[in-house]
Amino acid sequence: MPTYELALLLRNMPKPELKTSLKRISHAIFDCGGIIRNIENLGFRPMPYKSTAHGMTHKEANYFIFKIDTPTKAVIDLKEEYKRDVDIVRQRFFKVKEEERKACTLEEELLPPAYREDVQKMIQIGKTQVNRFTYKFKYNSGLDYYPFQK
Amino acid sequence: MFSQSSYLKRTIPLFIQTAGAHRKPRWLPVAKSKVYRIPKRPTTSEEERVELLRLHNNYKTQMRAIRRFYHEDMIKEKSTKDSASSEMSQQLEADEWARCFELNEKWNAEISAAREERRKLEIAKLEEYTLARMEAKDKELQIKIKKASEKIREQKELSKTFITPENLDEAIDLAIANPTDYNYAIDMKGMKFEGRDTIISYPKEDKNVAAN
Repeated sequence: MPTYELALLLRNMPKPELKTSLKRISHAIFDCGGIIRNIENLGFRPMPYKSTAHGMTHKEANYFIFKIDTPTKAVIDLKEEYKRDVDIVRQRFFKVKEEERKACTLEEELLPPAYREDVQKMIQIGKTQVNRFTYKFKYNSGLDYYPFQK
Repeated sequence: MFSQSSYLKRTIPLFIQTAGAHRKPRWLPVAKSKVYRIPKRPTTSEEERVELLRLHNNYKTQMRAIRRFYHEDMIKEKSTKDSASSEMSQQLEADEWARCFELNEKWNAEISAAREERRKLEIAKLEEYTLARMEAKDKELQIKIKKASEKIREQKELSKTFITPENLDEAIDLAIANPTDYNYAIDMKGMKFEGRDTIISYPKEDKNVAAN
C-alpha cells in the first residue's frame, strides 16, 4: 500500500458538523482497507480564488491534510466518493515520495573554481592533451616537407 | 537504348559528323557521280599465288602431323592405364589409403586432446563465473531483505501512532484544536520565525546591535 497525501478543502460550517464530515471521510478510508497515519489541520483560510462546488460558491474553506495508506485501486473509489460529498469543496491525492537524504555540498560549491575538485580534474585532463590553438609544427621533424595542409 | 520513335521525332540533323567515322549510312544510295563506276578487281600475280599456296599447304601438313602425334600419344596412355588396374597397383593404393588413415587418426587424437583440455578450462571458468554471480545475487538479496525488514520494523513502530476507528474522535478533536502552519520566515542572520501571523520581535541585545 503506497502512502498518499489527501489534501481536502471543506466548506465553511460549524465545528460539530465539521467533525461529523471528517469522521465520514475517515470511515470511507477505513472501509476501503486503508490506514490513516495522521490528520492535519491547516486552519480556516481564504481560498486563492472564488470556487464553486455542489451549487455553492466558496471564498473560504477549512484546509485539511490526511496522511493515508490505501490500496492503489481504492484511490479512484475514494475520489469518486469525495466528489459526491457535499461538504468537500476540493480534493487532491498526492503520492508521497521517499525523503532523499543528501549531504550538503554548498561549502564545496562556493569555493573559487581553481579549488574545486571537478575543475582540478578537468585541468589534469587538459594537460594530457595537445592544445590545437597554440600547437605549432616543428620543422626539425626529419621530413623535408610540411606534412599538413597550409 | 533509343526507341525508333525517338529517332523519328528528333529535330536535329540525323548525321552528326564525328571524328573517326567518315562513312555515310547504309541506307543512302550511291552518289550520282559514282553510279556507273566499276571498281577495279584486285589481281594477284601467278607467282605470288603459287607461293602462298605452297606456304599454306606446308602449314596445314605440319599442323596435322603434330595433332596426330598427340592424339596417338593420348590413346597409348589410356590403354596403359587401363591395363594398370592389376593387383600391384591395387596394393599400392591400399597402402596409400592406410597411411593416410593412420595420419588422420593421429591428427584427430591430437586435436581431441587439445579440445578436452580447452573444454576443461572453459568449464572451470564458467563455474567460477557462475558462482561469483550467484554470490553477488545472494548478497544483493540479503541487502534487500535487510532493508525490507528494517522498513517493516520502522512501520511497526510507527503503527502505534496510527489513527484507528477507536481513537478517531480524539484525533479529529486534536486536529481541529491545533491547526499547523508550515510557513516561516528567515532574516538575514538566519533566524527562523515559524508561523504565518507571528509578530517578529528580537531580544533587547539584538536590537542594540541592529541600531549600531
